[in-house]
Amino acid sequence: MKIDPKIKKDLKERLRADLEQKKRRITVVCAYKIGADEIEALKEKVPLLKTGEIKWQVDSSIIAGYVVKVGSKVLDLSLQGQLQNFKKLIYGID
Amino acid sequence: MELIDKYLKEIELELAKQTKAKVKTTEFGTVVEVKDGVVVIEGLDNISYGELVEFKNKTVGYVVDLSEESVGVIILGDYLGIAAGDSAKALGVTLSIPVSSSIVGRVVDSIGEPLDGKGKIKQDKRYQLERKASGVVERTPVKVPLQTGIKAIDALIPIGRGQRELIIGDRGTGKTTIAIDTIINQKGQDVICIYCAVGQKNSKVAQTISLLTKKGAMDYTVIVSSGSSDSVAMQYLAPYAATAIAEYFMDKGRDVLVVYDDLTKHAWAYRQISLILRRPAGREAYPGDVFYLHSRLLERSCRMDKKYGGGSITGLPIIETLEGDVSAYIPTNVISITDGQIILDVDLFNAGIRPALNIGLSVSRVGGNAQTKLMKSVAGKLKLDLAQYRELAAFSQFESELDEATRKLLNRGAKITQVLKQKKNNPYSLASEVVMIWATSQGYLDLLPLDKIPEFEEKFLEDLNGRGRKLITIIEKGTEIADSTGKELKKIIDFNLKRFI
Repeated sequence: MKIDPKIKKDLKERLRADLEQKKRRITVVCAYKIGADEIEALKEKVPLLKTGEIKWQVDSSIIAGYVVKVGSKVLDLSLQGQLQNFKKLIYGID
Repeated sequence: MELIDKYLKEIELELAKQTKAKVKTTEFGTVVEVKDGVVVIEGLDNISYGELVEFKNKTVGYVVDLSEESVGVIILGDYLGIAAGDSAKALGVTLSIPVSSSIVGRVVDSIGEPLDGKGKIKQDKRYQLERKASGVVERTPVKVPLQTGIKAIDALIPIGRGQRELIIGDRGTGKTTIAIDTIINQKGQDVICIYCAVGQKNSKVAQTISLLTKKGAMDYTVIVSSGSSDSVAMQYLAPYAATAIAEYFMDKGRDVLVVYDDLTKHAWAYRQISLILRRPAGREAYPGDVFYLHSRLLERSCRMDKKYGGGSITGLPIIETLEGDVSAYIPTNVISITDGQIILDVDLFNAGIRPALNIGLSVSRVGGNAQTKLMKSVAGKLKLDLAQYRELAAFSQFESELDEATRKLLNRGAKITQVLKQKKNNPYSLASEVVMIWATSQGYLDLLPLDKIPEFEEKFLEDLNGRGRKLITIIEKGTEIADSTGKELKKIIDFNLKRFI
């Protein structure tokens, strides 16, 4: 069976667009709901946040701080993450 | 108080030294598929081939496949705890193994975890599992011999330090025995040995370890084992781990011997991974890069130039054939990569010729330069006699109708074949090998009945090591057996012959 090259091209285009979108999807997780001034301050600190629409999430299990997710990249600025690293440091010694 | 003040100051200093905690971005992905030992992950947009990935339950994976939208990862360890939807974190490092000189005598798996219950391996450095083989400039020709302690091999198919010599044969023809005997014979030769067991029965590996321990060979041996019950990923990585350990010692200027037992199972493991990852299958369902799989491994065996440390890695890969078919895919591949092959034959094995060496087909492409002058001086005549014997062996049934010279040749050939037999786990010293071969090719054993030869050999060598100690030292120092030494030897031989004729 021969596939119409146009369909093939469209499909590829679509996939690429999908990937692009996925890459730019930004999620910020914070421990509590934050105000506009804090958002501004955060954007100053993390320039990546200016590149697209941000989805905000509240998750109290991170205790404090933020977790910024851009595509598959994760920037962990939470207390929970720090504690995890600390735990690794203590138990991970040979 | 002073001490406390001092301590506090130290802490302050340390704190001042510390810069602000650096924030690193990490790559995350989600598990979408879990197959036998292979996991497919979505996300992880900026990951590279060979990087490590950590899963939620702390299992680690190794990236082997990158496609447009997903990443294929093989799991190092238990993959049963991983479920679809789990997150996977990129660790940003490639696979390496902890090494130090205390690894000698230990049993480890493909990622350097101890298997012998003697605690963690002390870490001096970490060595990458995949490393590019040394280039042309750093190498030098193979010149130093590696004594296997097996008469037939040392005389006819000599192996040099830095060579890659394939051992190939059907199951149960004594491939492992040759390799293990070689390891046993390295006692006191300043060679570090690494035995890499891939996809073998754990009972067999345990047997090998106990044998090596009994023979005192564990003092200079490392065992890298991934049994047939371990995941294919571990089996796939084991030879590379063994080579990484070998490279650590080579970089220190040591001579290393690595036995890969066996590469057929290694190819099977890689075939399984490739098929699960849906890579196009080629001949015998192996993927296209199965040649590179072994060539990049065996290329790492080398003899380094003095300027670059002067170490060496001798590779003894083992390949199992089916019904003696050396023209199957994997055997031909590995034959073409190595510097010669030792072919073992079922028929010879069943005829009681052990090691079941097929002398006609076995070759060593570079070992000749490495053979000691002493061995060369006696092996030349042996080779000639054997070649003539093989030509005439077909006529041996009509012995009564043959002329005197031919009969003599046939008799000599039969004696040589008998003398080249050797019990397993009984390596010979160079001097014993040379004396036995010399005695045979001089024709001193021509009158001895064939079935008496093993007994005579045992008694004679015992006698030689007792009364003839002086002779042995003279022989070991020289480059050939001089006439005067020969006369002395003849006396001992004749003395022992009298008991049997």
